[in-house]
Amino acid sequence: MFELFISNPLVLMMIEVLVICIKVVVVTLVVFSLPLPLTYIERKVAGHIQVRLGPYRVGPHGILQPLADMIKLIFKEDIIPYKADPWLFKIAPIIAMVPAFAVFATIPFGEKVTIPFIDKEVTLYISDMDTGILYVLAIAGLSVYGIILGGWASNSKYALLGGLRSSAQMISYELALSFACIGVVMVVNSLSLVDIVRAQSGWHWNILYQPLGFVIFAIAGLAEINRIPFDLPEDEGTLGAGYHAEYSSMRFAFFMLTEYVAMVSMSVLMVILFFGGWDGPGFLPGIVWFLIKVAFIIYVIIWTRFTYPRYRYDQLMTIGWKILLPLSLLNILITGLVVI
Amino acid sequence: MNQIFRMKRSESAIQRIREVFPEAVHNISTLNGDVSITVGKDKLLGVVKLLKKESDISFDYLSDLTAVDYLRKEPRFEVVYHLTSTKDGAIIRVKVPLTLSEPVLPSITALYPSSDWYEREVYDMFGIVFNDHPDLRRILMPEGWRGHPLRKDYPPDGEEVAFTYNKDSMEEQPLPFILEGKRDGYLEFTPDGFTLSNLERLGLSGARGRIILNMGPQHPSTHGLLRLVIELDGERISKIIPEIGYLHTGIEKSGEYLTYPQALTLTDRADYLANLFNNLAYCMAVERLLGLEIPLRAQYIRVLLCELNRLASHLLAIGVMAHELGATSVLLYCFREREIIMDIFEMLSGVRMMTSYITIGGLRDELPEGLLDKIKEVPKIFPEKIDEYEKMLTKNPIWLKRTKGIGYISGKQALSLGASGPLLRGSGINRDLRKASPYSSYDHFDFEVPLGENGDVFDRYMIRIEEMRQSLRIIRQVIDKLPDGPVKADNRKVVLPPREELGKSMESLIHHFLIASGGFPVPGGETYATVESPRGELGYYIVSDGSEKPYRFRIRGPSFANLMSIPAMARECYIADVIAIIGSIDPVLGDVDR
Amino acid sequence: MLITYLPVLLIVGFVIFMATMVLFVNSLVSPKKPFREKLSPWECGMEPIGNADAGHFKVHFFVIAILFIVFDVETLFLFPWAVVLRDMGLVAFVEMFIFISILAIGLVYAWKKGALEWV
Repeated sequence: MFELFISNPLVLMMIEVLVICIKVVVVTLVVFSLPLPLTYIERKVAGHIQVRLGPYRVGPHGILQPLADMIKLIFKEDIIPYKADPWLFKIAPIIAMVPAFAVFATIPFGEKVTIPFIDKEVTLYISDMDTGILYVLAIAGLSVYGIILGGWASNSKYALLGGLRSSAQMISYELALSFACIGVVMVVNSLSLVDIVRAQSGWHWNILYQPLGFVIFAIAGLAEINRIPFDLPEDEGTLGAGYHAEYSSMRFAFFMLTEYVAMVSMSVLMVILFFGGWDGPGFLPGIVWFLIKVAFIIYVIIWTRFTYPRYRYDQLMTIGWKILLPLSLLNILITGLVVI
Repeated sequence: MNQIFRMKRSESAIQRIREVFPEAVHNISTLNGDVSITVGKDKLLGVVKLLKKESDISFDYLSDLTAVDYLRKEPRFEVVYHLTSTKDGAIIRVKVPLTLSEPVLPSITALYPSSDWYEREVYDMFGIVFNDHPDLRRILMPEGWRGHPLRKDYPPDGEEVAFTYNKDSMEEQPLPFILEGKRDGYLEFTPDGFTLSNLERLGLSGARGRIILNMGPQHPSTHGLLRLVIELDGERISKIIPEIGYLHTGIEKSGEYLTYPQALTLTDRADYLANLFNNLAYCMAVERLLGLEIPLRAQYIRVLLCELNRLASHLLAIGVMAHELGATSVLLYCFREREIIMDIFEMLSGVRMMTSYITIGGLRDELPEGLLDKIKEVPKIFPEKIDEYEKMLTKNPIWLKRTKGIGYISGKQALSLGASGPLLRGSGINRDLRKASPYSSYDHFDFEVPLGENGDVFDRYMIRIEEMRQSLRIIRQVIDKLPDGPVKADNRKVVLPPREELGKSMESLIHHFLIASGGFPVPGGETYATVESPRGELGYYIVSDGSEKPYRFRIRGPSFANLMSIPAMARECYIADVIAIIGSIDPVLGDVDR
Repeated sequence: MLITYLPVLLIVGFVIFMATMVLFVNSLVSPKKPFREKLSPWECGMEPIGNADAGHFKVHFFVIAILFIVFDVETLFLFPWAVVLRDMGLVAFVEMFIFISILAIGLVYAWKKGALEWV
């Protein structure tokens, strides 16, 4: 009877949907809380790079600092400037935040695991889309709407400048980013992220086949997630805080959340595209390798932030359009020649 | 000696003026090594032009422009110009008497563009009007302020502020000097005159596509409370107007109500990052009026402390500039080294910043035991660290992109705009007062004056780096050559007696009591003493009427003049470059607004 | 299969739900004491001169946006091409080479015209 029930296609479908729902909830919750450890790590790393301790007061070695920050932010007044467009101002952080999470719908964290007791095989990704990488690029690009709207709706000049910078920067670097991904797709012959990882198994990592593509991707990726040396939308020195200058409380937190999630998804994407995803020596499970690689890339991004000054705006655009774009086109041609 | 030669030069200038304008010069005095002439106001332009343009005289730099209010004399005001020659450091003081009934003078902005802000300041503080001035507004006090604070009949007390407890009494009796237009406890006026209605007069157009942006006073990168009103065309700047006065604390006014030793503590607060230079310049001025000779050991230690202070100040300048351009870590590294110097100052005086250690007549005390060993560490630690900053910045391609070719100003322009210090030397003009008119035995030490070639932000940054190396060189030499001897002049009327004498000598006790409680009278006269602070020419113009308190306590801050170069440097640049430019000027607003 | 895209909807819904919940909690516990100065836009402590949203966009932004659209559409063509390139071989490569060349000429033209110079 139970066998019959379990083999009913409708029930199968239900189970499938249920599994997806669970995965969605788990992934979203994990990603939602990721900025907590990340801010702590960033500040701690910064502290040690800068010959100081970083957060130290809340909890042992300041480990509870992010929690304290979060509680503080929740208890802060939500200020909406009187000159602002209230509705756009209110929803802009959410518009920015949702795409950053949606990216994770197709990110593969590992191959498959078998859950004990119920003996069901579960894939370590929410869904394997045929259009995987295209989907990721398209969705990730949507975040910029939130940033522009946030900057514009504030009706503050600094925020507006930040929003404008961000829009021009994002679209400029998105091209180079996509072209760098095309190089990878040409090698692998698939858009699905799972296939891309599988094709790299056994140390056939794409960074070996696409060195130029990797460099372009790394630079454009840094620019996409607004990190130093490309953090012009929130250029502290010039614009004070940039597009989120007028935001406070949780809406401000949402913008910060978006940034950290974007940083994670960019690192994840880089690992998947160029560092063989969960591929690694067999003594550790794939997902551990995956996390190690991601953590390392995040560390490098933080490290860069505390090493370099930032570019000026026109220099940034010049790099995007006059160096990275032609280079990425060249990369496609070279890859094409090698592939056929 | 050099001093005499410079006086001769100034005297030959006066001879020349006598030839050309036989009746212009009323009075010449050469008191305390300063040459000063008094001319009538109708002859001012002619005399100043002569002093500037004649090739063998050529006083091409306006050091200072201020005024003095002799309340009960007639004519009541005296506007004072200090002109310097950048060739040999000769200095001449031109004074113009003015009456209260007609406080009007021709502006010299056509000859010395740097007189712009100075004339505004004199207008603001004394109510003296300069004809043909391009933009005669108040500069330190807010627009709408009543009265001119540095006039002697203006009370030194602050205005009463309305709180809940005194609200009613405030309404009953409007105070004479508070701002016009207070409403509901809020100030409803525009303190600066930057209202939409008079934008055009200031050369700002509110045209479509252009944003008029306030950068500062509350901005992370304006080094305190500097305000720049910027007209933006996209990301590019089409007009920039610096506005100051947000940190005006009235040090010059307060100084007139304190005794000479008390006023010393005010000088620390003017340029708080180069406090010892302020101490030194003030003490030099007062000592010159008193005719005090300072023992050699004290002079050497003054040099030592000043160079340490210069190191600390430059470290902060470089660190903050790097921070504003995004290289956060350099700031922290600079602070790490600055901390060593701050520790030395703390060990020296118990205070980290406002040490007031250089006093009239020498130093406050002999160096504490063990301090010299600590200072000896500095030249050992620092070279390596300076190389480290260079590794992080000088060789960093992004840093080069952000600084090279940015904020260009030619040497000639910088000079005419009154710039001094690294800003002037970055444009290739060799003017360092330590060399040009050596004070406090600077001529006993070997050092070079680093010069820039391109006059851009990068050159100014490099000059600071190089000056730190030269400072270390001076510090090494001072330590090697440091002679034994007293650190205070032996004039007991002026200098506090040593502690151990107080128990034995009645006379010492009386002197101590008199100096500490009432100060000491300083012979009447006036003098202008300058030092080369980390930011440029820092001058103190002290007028004494023979009493225990300075009659006029004028600070010529280098940052004040340096800020006038911003519009010239920021022409047609990007908004982000303004940050680099401000960083390269390294203004201290305490020094600007005083 | 449409089910592969179901999670997108779920994530979007869930995130919006979470965000609303957090904002709701925030609105319950946060103080509300607005006054004029607090609600004024930040402009370094000064009263802003003019509005920020009065159409202060430089035309240049639109030029960049147009260029972006041109190349972004190209990306759309390139992705499927990249997947099948190995199967289709030289023909596909030459075709795309011509296509990219035309766009590259456009880029060079824009470059020479100064559209990429930031003002």
